[in-house]
Amino acid sequence: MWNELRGDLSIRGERQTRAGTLALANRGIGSMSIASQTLVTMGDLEVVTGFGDLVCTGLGSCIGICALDPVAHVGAMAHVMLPGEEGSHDLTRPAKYATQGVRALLDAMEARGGTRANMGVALAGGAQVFGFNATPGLDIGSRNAEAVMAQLALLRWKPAGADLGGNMGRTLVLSLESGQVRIRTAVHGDRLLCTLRGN
Amino acid sequence: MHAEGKLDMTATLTLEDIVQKTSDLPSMPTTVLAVMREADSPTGSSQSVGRHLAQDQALSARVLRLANSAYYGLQRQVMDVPEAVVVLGMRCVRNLCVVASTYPWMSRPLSGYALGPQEMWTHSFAVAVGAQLAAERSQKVSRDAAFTAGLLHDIGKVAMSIWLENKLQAMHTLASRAGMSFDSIERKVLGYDHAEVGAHLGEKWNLPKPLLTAIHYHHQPNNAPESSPLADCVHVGDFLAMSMGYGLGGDGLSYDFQGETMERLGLIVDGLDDLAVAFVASYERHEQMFTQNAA
Repeated sequence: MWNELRGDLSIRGERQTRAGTLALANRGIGSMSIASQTLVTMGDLEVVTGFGDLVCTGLGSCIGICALDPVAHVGAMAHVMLPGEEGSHDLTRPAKYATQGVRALLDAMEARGGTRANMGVALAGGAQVFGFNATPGLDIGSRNAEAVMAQLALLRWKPAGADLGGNMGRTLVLSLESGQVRIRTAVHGDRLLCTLRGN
Repeated sequence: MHAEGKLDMTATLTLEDIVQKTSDLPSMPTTVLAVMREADSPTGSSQSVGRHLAQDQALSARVLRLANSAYYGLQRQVMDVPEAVVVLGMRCVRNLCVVASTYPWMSRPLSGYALGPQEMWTHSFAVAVGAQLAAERSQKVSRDAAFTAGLLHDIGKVAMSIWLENKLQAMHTLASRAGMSFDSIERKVLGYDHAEVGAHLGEKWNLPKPLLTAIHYHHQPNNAPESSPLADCVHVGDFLAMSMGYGLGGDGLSYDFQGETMERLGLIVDGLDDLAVAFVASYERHEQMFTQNAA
Protein backbone atom coordinates (compact mmCIF):
# COMPACT_ATOMS: atom_id res chain seq x y z
CA MET A 1 0.00 0.00 0.00
CA TRP A 2 2.79 2.41 0.94
CA ASN A 3 4.54 1.78 -2.34
CA GLU A 4 1.37 2.79 -4.16
CA LEU A 5 1.04 5.90 -2.05
CA ARG A 6 4.65 6.87 -2.65
CA GLY A 7 4.28 6.28 -6.33
CA ASP A 8 7.20 7.66 -8.26
CA LEU A 9 8.05 10.24 -5.67
CA SER A 10 10.31 8.02 -3.60
CA ILE A 11 12.12 5.10 -5.09
CA ARG A 12 13.83 2.70 -2.73
CA GLY A 13 17.41 1.65 -3.12
CA GLU A 14 18.20 -1.50 -5.02
CA ARG A 15 18.41 -3.52 -1.83
CA GLN A 16 15.28 -4.37 0.08
CA THR A 17 16.95 -4.18 3.45
CA ARG A 18 15.97 -5.14 6.96
CA ALA A 19 15.28 -1.46 7.48
CA GLY A 20 12.32 -1.34 5.23
CA THR A 21 10.46 1.84 4.80
CA LEU A 22 8.70 2.72 7.97
CA ALA A 23 5.13 3.45 7.28
CA LEU A 24 4.31 7.01 7.43
CA ALA A 25 2.94 8.08 4.19
CA ASN A 26 1.09 11.19 5.26
CA ARG A 27 -1.23 12.89 2.89
CA GLY A 28 -1.35 16.53 3.88
CA ILE A 29 -4.83 18.10 3.73
CA GLY A 30 -5.14 20.08 0.55
CA SER A 31 -1.61 19.19 -0.39
CA MET A 32 -0.28 17.20 -3.27
CA SER A 33 2.85 16.16 -1.42
CA ILE A 34 3.34 12.77 0.13
CA ALA A 35 5.95 12.50 2.87
CA SER A 36 7.53 9.13 3.56
CA GLN A 37 10.02 8.26 6.25
CA THR A 38 12.76 5.73 5.62
CA LEU A 39 14.40 4.26 8.69
CA VAL A 40 18.06 3.34 8.30
CA THR A 41 19.03 0.52 10.64
CA MET A 42 22.46 -0.36 12.00
CA GLY A 43 25.06 -1.02 9.35
CA ASP A 44 22.66 -0.16 6.58
CA LEU A 45 22.49 2.40 3.82
CA GLU A 46 19.39 3.82 2.12
CA VAL A 47 19.03 6.02 -0.95
CA VAL A 48 15.87 7.92 -1.78
CA THR A 49 14.99 10.07 -4.76
CA GLY A 50 12.29 12.70 -4.78
CA PHE A 51 10.78 13.55 -1.42
CA GLY A 52 10.61 12.20 2.10
CA ASP A 53 12.76 11.92 5.20
CA LEU A 54 15.67 9.64 5.96
CA VAL A 55 16.02 8.77 9.65
CA CYS A 56 18.63 7.12 11.89
CA THR A 57 17.25 6.47 15.36
CA GLY A 58 19.13 5.25 18.43
CA LEU A 59 22.55 6.60 17.53
CA GLY A 60 24.73 5.80 20.51
CA SER A 61 28.35 5.21 19.51
CA CYS A 62 27.23 4.71 15.90
CA ILE A 63 27.45 7.51 13.36
CA GLY A 64 24.65 8.59 11.05
CA ILE A 65 25.91 10.20 7.82
CA CYS A 66 23.54 11.86 5.41
CA ALA A 67 24.09 13.38 1.99
CA LEU A 68 21.87 15.31 -0.39
CA ASP A 69 22.12 16.40 -4.00
CA PRO A 70 19.38 19.03 -4.20
CA VAL A 71 19.73 19.30 -7.98
CA ALA A 72 19.15 15.62 -8.70
CA HIS A 73 16.80 15.28 -5.68
CA VAL A 74 18.77 12.33 -4.36
CA GLY A 75 19.39 11.80 -0.67
CA ALA A 76 21.13 9.02 1.23
CA MET A 77 21.85 8.04 4.79
CA ALA A 78 24.28 5.50 6.28
CA HIS A 79 24.29 4.09 9.84
CA VAL A 80 27.92 3.23 10.61
CA MET A 81 28.49 0.80 13.49
CA LEU A 82 32.24 0.51 13.85
CA PRO A 83 35.45 2.13 12.59
CA GLY A 84 36.73 -0.99 10.79
CA GLU A 85 40.16 -1.44 9.32
CA GLU A 86 41.48 -1.05 5.81
CA GLY A 87 39.71 -3.75 3.83
CA SER A 88 36.95 -4.37 6.40
CA HIS A 89 33.90 -5.28 4.38
CA ASP A 90 30.48 -6.79 4.97
CA LEU A 91 28.38 -7.54 1.92
CA THR A 92 25.11 -7.68 3.85
CA ARG A 93 25.65 -4.42 5.72
CA PRO A 94 27.17 -1.84 3.36
CA ALA A 95 27.69 0.75 6.11
CA LYS A 96 28.80 -1.53 8.94
CA TYR A 97 32.31 -0.07 8.95
CA ALA A 98 33.35 3.53 8.42
CA THR A 99 36.01 2.26 6.03
CA GLN A 100 33.33 0.97 3.64
CA GLY A 101 30.26 3.06 4.58
CA VAL A 102 31.37 6.53 3.50
CA ARG A 103 32.53 5.39 0.09
CA ALA A 104 29.38 3.26 -0.30
CA LEU A 105 27.23 6.31 0.49
CA LEU A 106 28.89 8.34 -2.25
CA ASP A 107 28.73 5.47 -4.76
CA ALA A 108 25.03 4.89 -4.04
CA MET A 109 24.26 8.58 -4.53
CA GLU A 110 26.12 8.66 -7.84
CA ALA A 111 24.46 5.46 -9.00
CA ARG A 112 21.09 7.18 -8.53
CA GLY A 113 22.02 10.27 -10.50
CA GLY A 114 23.72 12.39 -7.87
CA THR A 115 26.74 14.49 -8.77
CA ARG A 116 29.58 14.74 -6.30
CA ALA A 117 30.00 18.49 -6.86
CA ASN A 118 26.37 19.11 -5.87
CA MET A 119 26.31 16.97 -2.75
CA GLY A 120 26.32 18.25 0.82
CA VAL A 121 27.03 15.94 3.75
CA ALA A 122 26.39 16.03 7.51
CA LEU A 123 26.83 13.58 10.37
CA ALA A 124 25.91 12.90 14.00
CA GLY A 125 26.53 10.34 16.75
CA GLY A 126 29.73 8.96 18.26
CA ALA A 127 28.57 9.20 21.89
CA GLN A 128 30.22 7.14 24.58
CA VAL A 129 30.03 6.14 28.21
CA PHE A 130 32.17 7.69 30.93
CA GLY A 131 35.39 6.01 31.95
CA PHE A 132 36.43 4.94 28.48
CA ASN A 133 39.73 6.77 28.93
CA ALA A 134 40.74 4.39 31.69
CA THR A 135 40.41 1.43 29.34
CA PRO A 136 41.76 2.09 25.84
CA GLY A 137 39.71 0.46 23.12
CA LEU A 138 36.35 1.14 24.77
CA ASP A 139 36.02 4.50 23.03
CA ILE A 140 33.96 3.15 20.13
CA GLY A 141 32.20 6.51 19.76
CA SER A 142 35.28 8.66 19.25
CA ARG A 143 37.03 6.00 17.14
CA ASN A 144 33.92 5.90 14.93
CA ALA A 145 33.87 9.69 14.60
CA GLU A 146 37.58 9.80 13.75
CA ALA A 147 37.27 7.03 11.19
CA VAL A 148 34.29 8.63 9.44
CA MET A 149 35.96 12.05 9.37
CA ALA A 150 39.13 10.46 7.96
CA GLN A 151 37.13 8.79 5.17
CA LEU A 152 35.37 12.08 4.36
CA ALA A 153 38.76 13.83 4.28
CA LEU A 154 40.08 11.22 1.84
CA LEU A 155 37.18 12.14 -0.45
CA ARG A 156 37.77 15.87 0.23
CA TRP A 157 34.18 16.04 1.41
CA LYS A 158 33.75 18.66 4.10
CA PRO A 159 30.66 18.23 6.30
CA ALA A 160 28.23 21.14 6.44
CA GLY A 161 27.36 20.09 9.99
CA ALA A 162 28.55 17.59 12.58
CA ASP A 163 27.18 16.79 16.04
CA LEU A 164 29.57 14.28 17.54
CA GLY A 165 30.60 12.93 20.94
CA GLY A 166 29.04 13.50 24.35
CA ASN A 167 26.92 10.87 26.05
CA MET A 168 23.44 11.44 24.64
CA GLY A 169 21.58 9.15 22.29
CA ARG A 170 20.58 10.92 19.08
CA THR A 171 18.14 10.69 16.20
CA LEU A 172 19.29 12.12 12.85
CA VAL A 173 16.73 13.25 10.28
CA LEU A 174 17.32 14.49 6.71
CA SER A 175 14.43 16.10 4.87
CA LEU A 176 14.84 15.76 1.12
CA GLU A 177 12.40 18.58 0.49
CA SER A 178 14.03 21.24 2.63
CA GLY A 179 17.56 19.86 2.89
CA GLN A 180 17.30 20.37 6.65
CA VAL A 181 19.31 18.06 8.87
CA ARG A 182 17.81 17.84 12.34
CA ILE A 183 19.03 16.25 15.56
CA ARG A 184 16.68 14.96 18.25
CA THR A 185 17.69 13.98 21.78
CA ALA A 186 15.48 12.82 24.65
CA VAL A 187 16.52 15.68 26.90
CA HIS A 188 17.06 18.59 24.52
CA GLY A 189 14.37 17.86 21.95
CA ASP A 190 14.68 18.76 18.28
CA ARG A 191 17.15 21.22 16.74
CA LEU A 192 18.41 22.17 13.30
CA LEU A 193 21.99 21.06 12.65
CA CYS A 194 22.38 22.51 9.16
CA THR A 195 20.73 22.76 5.77
CA LEU A 196 22.28 20.82 2.90
CA ARG A 197 22.29 22.92 -0.23
CA GLY A 198 25.06 21.20 -2.14
CA ASN A 199 28.81 21.31 -1.83
CA MET B 1 19.37 26.92 41.08
CA HIS B 2 16.00 26.31 39.58
CA ALA B 3 16.99 22.83 38.51
CA GLU B 4 18.37 21.89 41.91
CA GLY B 5 15.35 23.39 43.71
CA LYS B 6 13.08 21.10 41.73
CA LEU B 7 15.19 18.12 42.66
CA ASP B 8 15.04 18.89 46.39
CA MET B 9 11.36 17.90 46.39
CA THR B 10 12.29 14.32 45.67
CA ALA B 11 14.90 14.14 48.40
CA THR B 12 12.30 13.40 51.09
CA LEU B 13 11.34 10.08 49.53
CA THR B 14 12.99 7.02 51.00
CA LEU B 15 13.78 3.92 49.00
CA GLU B 16 10.99 2.12 50.84
CA ASP B 17 8.59 4.97 49.92
CA ILE B 18 9.42 4.53 46.27
CA VAL B 19 8.46 0.86 46.36
CA GLN B 20 5.51 1.28 48.77
CA LYS B 21 3.90 4.35 47.25
CA THR B 22 4.27 3.52 43.59
CA SER B 23 1.02 2.08 42.41
CA ASP B 24 0.83 -0.43 39.61
CA LEU B 25 4.25 -1.94 40.26
CA PRO B 26 4.94 -5.10 38.31
CA SER B 27 5.43 -8.49 39.90
CA MET B 28 7.00 -11.76 38.82
CA PRO B 29 4.49 -14.63 38.57
CA THR B 30 5.23 -17.54 40.91
CA THR B 31 5.03 -19.94 37.95
CA VAL B 32 7.94 -18.16 36.29
CA LEU B 33 10.01 -18.24 39.48
CA ALA B 34 9.29 -21.97 39.79
CA VAL B 35 10.23 -22.63 36.15
CA MET B 36 13.48 -20.67 36.62
CA ARG B 37 14.27 -22.62 39.79
CA GLU B 38 13.62 -25.98 38.15
CA ALA B 39 15.51 -25.19 34.96
CA ASP B 40 18.51 -23.91 36.95
CA SER B 41 18.52 -26.85 39.34
CA PRO B 42 20.82 -29.80 38.64
CA THR B 43 17.86 -32.07 39.36
CA GLY B 44 15.47 -30.17 37.09
CA SER B 45 14.01 -32.04 34.13
CA SER B 46 11.77 -31.32 31.16
CA GLN B 47 8.97 -33.06 33.04
CA SER B 48 9.33 -30.95 36.20
CA VAL B 49 9.62 -27.72 34.19
CA GLY B 50 6.57 -28.73 32.14
CA ARG B 51 4.61 -29.50 35.31
CA HIS B 52 5.22 -26.01 36.73
CA LEU B 53 4.60 -24.36 33.41
CA ALA B 54 1.24 -26.10 33.00
CA GLN B 55 -0.01 -24.09 36.02
CA ASP B 56 -0.10 -20.97 33.87
CA GLN B 57 -2.29 -21.28 30.81
CA ALA B 58 -1.23 -18.03 29.16
CA LEU B 59 2.46 -18.91 29.47
CA SER B 60 1.82 -22.46 28.29
CA ALA B 61 0.08 -21.10 25.20
CA ARG B 62 3.06 -18.87 24.38
CA VAL B 63 5.50 -21.75 24.76
CA LEU B 64 3.35 -23.89 22.45
CA ARG B 65 3.16 -21.03 19.96
CA LEU B 66 6.95 -20.73 19.89
CA ALA B 67 7.41 -24.49 19.52
CA ASN B 68 5.03 -24.43 16.56
CA SER B 69 6.42 -21.24 15.02
CA ALA B 70 8.15 -21.11 11.67
CA TYR B 71 11.38 -20.40 13.54
CA TYR B 72 11.65 -24.05 14.53
CA GLY B 73 10.13 -25.36 11.31
CA LEU B 74 8.87 -28.64 12.79
CA GLN B 75 7.07 -31.03 10.46
CA ARG B 76 4.32 -31.82 12.96
CA GLN B 77 2.31 -29.80 15.47
CA VAL B 78 3.38 -29.87 19.13
CA MET B 79 0.19 -30.30 21.15
CA ASP B 80 1.18 -30.33 24.82
CA VAL B 81 3.49 -28.47 27.18
CA PRO B 82 5.81 -31.33 28.23
CA GLU B 83 6.49 -32.10 24.57
CA ALA B 84 7.12 -28.40 23.86
CA VAL B 85 9.69 -28.34 26.66
CA VAL B 86 11.45 -31.33 25.11
CA VAL B 87 11.38 -29.75 21.65
CA LEU B 88 12.56 -26.30 22.72
CA GLY B 89 14.81 -27.37 25.57
CA MET B 90 14.55 -26.31 29.19
CA ARG B 91 16.77 -23.29 28.78
CA CYS B 92 14.78 -21.84 25.92
CA VAL B 93 11.49 -22.39 27.77
CA ARG B 94 12.91 -20.82 30.91
CA ASN B 95 14.02 -17.69 29.04
CA LEU B 96 10.80 -17.45 27.07
CA CYS B 97 8.82 -17.52 30.34
CA VAL B 98 10.88 -14.66 31.79
CA VAL B 99 10.53 -12.68 28.57
CA ALA B 100 6.78 -13.29 28.26
CA SER B 101 6.08 -12.32 31.85
CA THR B 102 8.07 -9.09 31.71
CA TYR B 103 7.17 -7.90 28.21
CA PRO B 104 3.72 -6.41 29.05
CA TRP B 105 4.99 -3.95 31.66
CA MET B 106 8.45 -3.41 30.22
CA SER B 107 7.03 -2.24 26.92
CA ARG B 108 5.18 0.67 28.55
CA PRO B 109 6.71 4.13 28.29
CA LEU B 110 8.65 5.51 31.28
CA SER B 111 8.42 9.27 31.00
CA GLY B 112 10.67 9.89 34.02
CA TYR B 113 13.55 8.52 31.95
CA ALA B 114 12.22 9.79 28.60
CA LEU B 115 11.76 6.21 27.43
CA GLY B 116 9.01 5.90 24.85
CA PRO B 117 6.81 2.85 24.28
CA GLN B 118 8.96 -0.31 23.76
CA GLU B 119 12.22 1.48 24.59
CA MET B 120 12.64 0.08 28.12
CA TRP B 121 11.88 -3.32 26.65
CA THR B 122 14.35 -2.93 23.79
CA HIS B 123 17.09 -1.85 26.17
CA SER B 124 16.42 -4.61 28.72
CA PHE B 125 16.25 -7.30 26.06
CA ALA B 126 19.47 -6.03 24.49
CA VAL B 127 21.25 -6.09 27.86
CA ALA B 128 19.95 -9.64 28.41
CA VAL B 129 21.46 -10.72 25.09
CA GLY B 130 24.72 -8.84 25.78
CA ALA B 131 25.06 -10.27 29.29
CA GLN B 132 24.40 -13.75 27.91
CA LEU B 133 27.11 -13.27 25.29
CA ALA B 134 29.59 -12.09 27.95
CA ALA B 135 28.71 -15.15 30.07
CA GLU B 136 29.21 -17.48 27.08
CA ARG B 137 32.59 -15.99 26.29
CA SER B 138 33.81 -15.90 29.89
CA GLN B 139 32.41 -19.27 31.03
CA LYS B 140 32.31 -17.85 34.56
CA VAL B 141 28.58 -17.89 35.08
CA SER B 142 25.46 -19.53 33.63
CA ARG B 143 24.33 -17.84 30.44
CA ASP B 144 20.68 -18.20 31.46
CA ALA B 145 21.28 -16.46 34.78
CA ALA B 146 23.06 -13.70 32.84
CA PHE B 147 20.11 -13.42 30.42
CA THR B 148 17.65 -13.03 33.30
CA ALA B 149 19.87 -10.57 35.19
CA GLY B 150 20.25 -8.50 32.03
CA LEU B 151 16.53 -8.51 31.36
CA LEU B 152 15.71 -7.38 34.91
CA HIS B 153 18.67 -5.06 35.56
CA ASP B 154 16.67 -1.82 35.19
CA ILE B 155 13.42 -2.80 36.95
CA GLY B 156 14.13 -0.04 39.46
CA LYS B 157 13.44 2.48 36.69
CA VAL B 158 9.86 1.25 36.53
CA ALA B 159 9.38 2.25 40.18
CA MET B 160 11.46 5.43 39.97
CA SER B 161 10.07 6.84 36.73
CA ILE B 162 6.95 8.47 38.09
CA TRP B 163 8.96 10.29 40.78
CA LEU B 164 11.44 11.63 38.25
CA GLU B 165 8.87 13.07 35.85
CA ASN B 166 9.77 16.67 34.90
CA LYS B 167 13.11 16.30 36.69
CA LEU B 168 15.11 14.58 33.98
CA GLN B 169 16.42 17.74 32.35
CA ALA B 170 17.53 19.15 35.70
CA MET B 171 19.27 15.90 36.58
CA HIS B 172 20.96 15.77 33.22
CA THR B 173 22.15 19.35 33.63
CA LEU B 174 23.56 18.47 37.05
CA ALA B 175 25.28 15.38 35.64
CA SER B 176 26.82 17.35 32.77
CA ARG B 177 27.90 20.22 34.98
CA ALA B 178 29.49 17.96 37.58
CA GLY B 179 30.82 15.46 35.04
CA MET B 180 29.08 12.72 37.01
CA SER B 181 27.27 9.63 35.85
CA PHE B 182 23.47 9.56 35.96
CA ASP B 183 23.34 6.94 38.72
CA SER B 184 25.70 9.09 40.82
CA ILE B 185 23.29 12.01 40.41
CA GLU B 186 20.38 9.77 41.44
CA ARG B 187 22.31 8.83 44.58
CA LYS B 188 23.27 12.44 45.26
CA VAL B 189 19.71 13.71 44.89
CA LEU B 190 17.70 10.80 46.29
CA GLY B 191 20.22 8.90 48.40
CA TYR B 192 19.86 5.78 46.22
CA ASP B 193 19.82 4.92 42.53
CA HIS B 194 17.55 2.91 40.23
CA ALA B 195 19.82 -0.13 40.63
CA GLU B 196 19.31 -0.19 44.39
CA VAL B 197 15.56 0.33 44.02
CA GLY B 198 15.52 -2.54 41.50
CA ALA B 199 17.26 -4.87 43.94
CA HIS B 200 14.78 -3.87 46.65
CA LEU B 201 11.89 -4.64 44.32
CA GLY B 202 13.49 -7.93 43.30
CA GLU B 203 13.80 -8.91 46.94
CA LYS B 204 10.05 -8.51 47.29
CA TRP B 205 9.65 -10.85 44.33
CA ASN B 206 11.90 -13.41 46.06
CA LEU B 207 14.48 -13.36 43.29
CA PRO B 208 17.64 -15.35 44.06
CA LYS B 209 20.43 -13.46 45.81
CA PRO B 210 23.01 -13.54 42.99
CA LEU B 211 20.39 -11.96 40.75
CA LEU B 212 19.71 -9.25 43.33
CA THR B 213 23.43 -8.51 43.59
CA ALA B 214 23.71 -8.23 39.81
CA ILE B 215 20.76 -5.81 39.67
CA HIS B 216 22.08 -3.77 42.59
CA TYR B 217 25.64 -3.41 41.28
CA HIS B 218 25.14 -3.39 37.53
CA HIS B 219 26.54 0.15 37.26
CA GLN B 220 29.33 -0.35 39.79
CA PRO B 221 30.30 -4.03 39.84
CA ASN B 222 33.65 -3.13 41.45
CA ASN B 223 31.70 -2.16 44.58
CA ALA B 224 29.82 -5.46 44.95
CA PRO B 225 30.45 -6.90 48.43
CA GLU B 226 31.78 -10.06 46.89
CA SER B 227 32.91 -10.90 43.40
CA SER B 228 29.86 -11.09 41.12
CA PRO B 229 30.52 -12.40 37.61
CA LEU B 230 26.79 -11.93 37.00
CA ALA B 231 27.03 -8.20 37.75
CA ASP B 232 30.14 -8.06 35.52
CA CYS B 233 28.25 -9.68 32.64
CA VAL B 234 25.31 -7.28 33.01
CA HIS B 235 27.74 -4.34 33.15
CA VAL B 236 29.33 -5.44 29.86
CA GLY B 237 25.89 -6.16 28.34
CA ASP B 238 24.70 -2.70 29.36
CA PHE B 239 27.80 -1.15 27.78
CA LEU B 240 27.15 -2.98 24.51
CA ALA B 241 23.44 -2.07 24.50
CA MET B 242 24.12 1.60 25.21
CA SER B 243 26.94 1.82 22.68
CA MET B 244 24.85 0.23 19.93
CA GLY B 245 21.95 2.53 20.83
CA TYR B 246 19.34 -0.01 21.95
CA GLY B 247 16.56 1.76 23.89
CA LEU B 248 18.40 4.90 24.92
CA GLY B 249 16.41 7.24 27.16
CA GLY B 250 17.23 10.63 28.61
CA ASP B 251 20.04 9.15 30.68
CA GLY B 252 21.61 8.02 27.40
CA LEU B 253 25.15 6.76 27.83
CA SER B 254 25.74 8.80 31.02
CA TYR B 255 27.21 5.90 32.97
CA ASP B 256 30.68 4.82 34.02
CA PHE B 257 32.26 1.80 32.45
CA GLN B 258 34.45 -0.14 34.87
CA GLY B 259 37.07 -1.75 32.66
CA GLU B 260 38.07 -4.23 35.38
CA THR B 261 34.94 -6.20 34.51
CA MET B 262 36.51 -7.17 31.18
CA GLU B 263 39.63 -8.42 32.97
CA ARG B 264 37.64 -10.35 35.55
CA LEU B 265 35.61 -12.01 32.81
CA GLY B 266 38.74 -12.74 30.80
CA LEU B 267 37.45 -10.71 27.85
CA ILE B 268 39.91 -8.85 25.66
CA VAL B 269 39.34 -5.14 25.24
CA ASP B 270 41.05 -5.29 21.85
CA GLY B 271 38.31 -7.66 20.77
CA LEU B 272 35.54 -5.28 21.77
CA ASP B 273 34.56 -4.40 18.21
CA ASP B 274 34.20 -8.09 17.37
CA LEU B 275 32.13 -8.52 20.54
CA ALA B 276 29.88 -5.65 19.38
CA VAL B 277 29.38 -7.34 15.99
CA ALA B 278 28.53 -10.66 17.66
CA PHE B 279 26.22 -8.83 20.03
CA VAL B 280 24.20 -7.15 17.28
CA ALA B 281 23.88 -10.43 15.37
CA SER B 282 22.78 -12.24 18.54
CA TYR B 283 20.27 -9.50 19.39
CA GLU B 284 18.64 -9.71 15.98
CA ARG B 285 18.44 -13.51 16.16
CA HIS B 286 16.92 -13.53 19.65
CA GLU B 287 14.52 -10.72 18.92
CA GLN B 288 13.15 -12.60 15.94
CA MET B 289 12.67 -15.70 18.04
CA PHE B 290 11.35 -14.27 21.31
CA THR B 291 9.55 -11.04 20.70
CA GLN B 292 7.12 -12.36 18.12
CA ASN B 293 6.13 -15.20 20.42
CA ALA B 294 6.24 -13.46 23.77
CA ALA B 295 4.29 -10.34 22.90
